[in-house]
Amino acid sequence: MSQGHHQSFWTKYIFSTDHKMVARQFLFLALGMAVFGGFYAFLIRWQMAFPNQPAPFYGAVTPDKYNVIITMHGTIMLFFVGMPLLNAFPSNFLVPLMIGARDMAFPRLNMASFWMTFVGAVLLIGSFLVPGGPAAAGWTGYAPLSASSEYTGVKIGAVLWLLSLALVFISSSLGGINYLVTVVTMRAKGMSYSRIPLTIWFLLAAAFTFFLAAGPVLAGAFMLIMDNVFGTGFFLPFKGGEPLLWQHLFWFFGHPEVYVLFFPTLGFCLDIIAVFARKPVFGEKLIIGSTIAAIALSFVVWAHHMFITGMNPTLVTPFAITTILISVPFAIIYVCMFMSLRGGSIRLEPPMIWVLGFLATFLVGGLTGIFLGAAGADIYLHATYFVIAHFHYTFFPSVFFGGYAAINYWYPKMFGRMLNKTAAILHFALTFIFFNCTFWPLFIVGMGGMVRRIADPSFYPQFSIFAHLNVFATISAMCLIASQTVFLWNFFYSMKNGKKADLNPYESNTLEWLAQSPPPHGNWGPKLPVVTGDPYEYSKPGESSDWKSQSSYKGDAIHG
Amino acid sequence: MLFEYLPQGISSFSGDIDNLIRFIYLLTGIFFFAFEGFLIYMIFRYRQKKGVKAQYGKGDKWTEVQWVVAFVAVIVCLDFFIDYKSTKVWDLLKVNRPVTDVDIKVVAKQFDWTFIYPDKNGSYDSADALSSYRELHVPVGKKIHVILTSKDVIHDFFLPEVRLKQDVMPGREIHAWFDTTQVGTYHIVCNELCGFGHTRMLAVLHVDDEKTYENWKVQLYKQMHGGV
Repeated sequence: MSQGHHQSFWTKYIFSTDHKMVARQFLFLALGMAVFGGFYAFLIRWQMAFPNQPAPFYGAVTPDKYNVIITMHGTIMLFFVGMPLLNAFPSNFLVPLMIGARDMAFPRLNMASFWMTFVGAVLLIGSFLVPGGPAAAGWTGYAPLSASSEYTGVKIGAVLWLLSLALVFISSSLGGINYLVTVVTMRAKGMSYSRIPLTIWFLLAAAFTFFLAAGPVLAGAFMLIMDNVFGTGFFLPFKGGEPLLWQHLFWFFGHPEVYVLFFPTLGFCLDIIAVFARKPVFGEKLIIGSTIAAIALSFVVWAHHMFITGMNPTLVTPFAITTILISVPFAIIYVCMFMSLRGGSIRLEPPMIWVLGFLATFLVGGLTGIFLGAAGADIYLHATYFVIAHFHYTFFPSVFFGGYAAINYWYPKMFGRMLNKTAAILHFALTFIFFNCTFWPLFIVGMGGMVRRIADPSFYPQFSIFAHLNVFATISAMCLIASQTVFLWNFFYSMKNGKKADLNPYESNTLEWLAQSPPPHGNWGPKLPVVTGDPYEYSKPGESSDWKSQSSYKGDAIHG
Repeated sequence: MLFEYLPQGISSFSGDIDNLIRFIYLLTGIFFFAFEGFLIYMIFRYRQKKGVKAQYGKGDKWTEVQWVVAFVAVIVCLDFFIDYKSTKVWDLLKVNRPVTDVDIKVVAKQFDWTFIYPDKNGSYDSADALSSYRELHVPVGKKIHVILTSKDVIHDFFLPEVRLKQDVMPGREIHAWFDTTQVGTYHIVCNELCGFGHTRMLAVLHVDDEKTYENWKVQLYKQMHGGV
């Protein structure tokens, strides 16, 4: 391998094929796009609490702008924050390090995958500059609204939105191939499948699920582009098309996609719980079996987004049953996580606190899904703010609590320095409080019948009775967004000024902690680590120490 | 607390939907407190203490996992119980349409609602068919059959107080039914993003007694036919 050789600025930082640099690029892209996504969230909440008053830093949120804002908020948060932060960034950084490889199997494919996502992001943000403005048909882009400019006045923007999504789908598929091939072919000696840490298993589960799901929606995206550009009528009923087809293609992808944004967090949580509770993961086989069951089920639940579309109503019941059955595998995984804590010696370090916060909040998202999966209850609750509250209670904990847990945990390995612990805990406390204060009231608002995606609540006098809840949620959301500056300060300040990190500050067993912090190009010295143990051998009876690394590899040997 | 602002139900089935939601609320509420309580208990009970080593256990023995299996069995039973209750409500409202008393065609377009009442022969196209703009009048206690269709994009016919929600698709006619139990003025909302005017796509539901309803129809007929 070519560690230590001279690299120009361009090959080192921009068109890099080093998995750690690509990982950083994805991380910074996610953080940058989160600024846009967060700003749109602020505008949405502003308009719901203070309708038609000019929003700070923006101006009046008119209905046409509002539709653009909700479309962009959803698209950015899912595809340009969630996926880079939970899939691309950790997969790129951790896969080679945790299995003892020097880099990805296809480093140039890896670079291509980042730059495709980057171009996608540029197209999406650039669509603000084209005539007609950006896409405005919601992040789900339901046809026929999204299929013809006569309904929205948006033409180029809609096509750019679809191209941008197509690029992310292709980029993520390429990334997924890379992670899978790397794990299958490049594991260090002794790294049998049963010794692969759960973080890697869950990242692979996410990549595999994405693979299976992305094909149909990618085809759908190109059909929608053709409807818009070449005047075909795949989704236009007046040309013989079928609008529900888009919803089927979209949600066939959409529900597995939810797990693509959830599995990585499960992996981080399990690894972090083992390290900070000093215990082996409870029921590893049960967890893997449940995950396979969840993947299988995730492909036969998609119509629960479509109960009231007018699809055959007798077909609704089987979908409601599969949907509610999803609670079984995730209940098993949850119980296994709780059992992994039980009897532990819990160290309340920042990564662990984020994981505990995730467990506490995601539970609400999981339980409220049962309301919506029960078709009879969904008749009333569908597309109300109850749904908004529900899926923010799943996505926010998964993407942000999980993402922050991962960043806090692996930061010392990425940058060789520790994050400031006080700031990290303060950031958690503020985020936890204001997240709950933002979305908890929305359950009540939704149960009160407030519908989502309305641009101007002042047209709805019946909603004025819970206006105070909307104001409370908005002020909390503004505090939630403001609290993230604590993280940004900590992240950038500690990069230069943080306490120097030990190689293995948490006394963790997995391989990445044997590499230098940060690991050099090529990760390991002249010799690769040889794996001799399981990843979760903590507090084994009869051992003097409460941990035992997976390998006796000496990181010091690589100096010079 | 969750139900503080739940609109008052005004149909024969609104109570069934509300009870289903309350039932799920009760069940999930129990699980919520059990799990959060257990989590908080463990954080305090098992915090790192000097000289105390964590208990080693991988959960790969039957004695360790039998409680998980028992718990899963409970969850599966509860799941099917929820499915059973939910399907009853769903079938009542969406699958088994009863014999109805009044037919009304609902035509949605960007960004309006038109309600068409058929003539004596059941035709919606004849000159005698009544067409009401943004105002739906129904006689109280009667079972109403609505035929929903859209002229452009997808809309959604949401009557919060009735607890009825049904998407309105272009290119097809969707049949739905509802009834009402008390007179009054209620809301009709479009609940599917349909373009920049979506937020204004509102209508009013008037539940009238039989006499008011018939009078309104006569008045509407006069309006449409120049007072003949």
